[in-house]
Amino acid sequence: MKAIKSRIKSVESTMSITKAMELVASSKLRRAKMQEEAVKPYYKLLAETIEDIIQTTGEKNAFIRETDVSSAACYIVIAGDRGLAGGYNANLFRLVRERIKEDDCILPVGKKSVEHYEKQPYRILTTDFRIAASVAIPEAHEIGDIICKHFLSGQFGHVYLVYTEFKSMLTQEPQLRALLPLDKDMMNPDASNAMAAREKENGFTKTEKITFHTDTLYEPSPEEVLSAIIPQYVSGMIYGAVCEASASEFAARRTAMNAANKNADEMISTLTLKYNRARQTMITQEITEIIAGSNTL
Amino acid sequence: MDSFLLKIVTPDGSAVDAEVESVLIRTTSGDIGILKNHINYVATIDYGLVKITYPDHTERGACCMNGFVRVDKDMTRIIATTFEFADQIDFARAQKAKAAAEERLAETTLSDDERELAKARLKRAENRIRVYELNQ
Repeated sequence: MKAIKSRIKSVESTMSITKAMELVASSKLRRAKMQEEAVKPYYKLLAETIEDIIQTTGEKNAFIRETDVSSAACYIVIAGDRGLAGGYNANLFRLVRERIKEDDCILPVGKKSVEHYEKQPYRILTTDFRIAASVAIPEAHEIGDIICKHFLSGQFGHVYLVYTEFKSMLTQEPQLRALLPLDKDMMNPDASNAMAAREKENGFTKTEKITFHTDTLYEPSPEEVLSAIIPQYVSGMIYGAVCEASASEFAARRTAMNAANKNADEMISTLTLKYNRARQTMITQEITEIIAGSNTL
Repeated sequence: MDSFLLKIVTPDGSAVDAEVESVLIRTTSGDIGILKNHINYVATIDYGLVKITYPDHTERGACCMNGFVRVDKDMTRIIATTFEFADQIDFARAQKAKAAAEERLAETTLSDDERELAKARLKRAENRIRVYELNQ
């Protein structure tokens, strides 16, 4: 009986922790969502301008390659800093494991991601981004700079962003998105539909109609503008992905903690039932003993 | 003077969305001033300053880094990584960042990547300090 009682106590204290975590996750989730909303117009505008330049000047750039270049890839894996979020981290790693080849490399973001890939045989670009929560705009730019530099030096021909997409409060899905090279279709003058489709896929639709300005003046030159903007676009996309991933993490944690609370509730009620039964049995036994004793007198 | 719509967009959201009379921007190829009916124009900004004049002739200076300005027929947009009005700059923090970056650059064991990062940090801090001092 004492064992049951202490068990109930311990479940209750765990429950108070999971409850608190649920509340914290919900409030952080709201903030992360807001951040993500704020960054969207930024990279949308960047993408539009890049497209504009390519369409009007037919400019070629090192970032835009034929898509059939087969060389090593780099995966930017954005995971969480903490566990206790259901399958949040594990699902992400599984997705990468299915795709990755031997000579690919990884840029892990987040403590769980760094820890996971340190034990793996793949080459790691840097472990500087150990704490996903501290990746703000300057850090996203650092990541972007590193990626662009290595990409241009030809160390890898593809860059993928791996993060968890925020579908709704209840569902988050691991996503693998090609970041570089930029889509060859963007070079095709008839590809505005493809671009629009891609935008849609990216989670937003264009509200403004696409208009190409042929008489735009570029300074210093279209080429230089393009090489300056593309790294910014890359960083913007990374920052957007980090924001979305953290929103997903909090949502996943909230769901996991909610389930934990329900479980704890159920456990407490079965344990209480057990406890009451045991108590009842003891009382009954005592009464029987007393009656038996008085009968012998 | 006629005014036009100026939008400044950063990853943190929209910083400015207002009618302005003129905007002065330091781009990589020099200072340019934009008034209404400017030709379609795109230029890059690395470590720049921006001066906005509102229709009531008030002026506001700002520091703007890593981005570009895009002038279209109906509006002018500045897309930047950071955009801070001079009065929002945390001067003490910028000074601290400058000192830290200088210290880091003095180390001899830095890799190329680390050196570049530190240099970029130094430039950002210096730009903030300059804009802040200009607008005092």
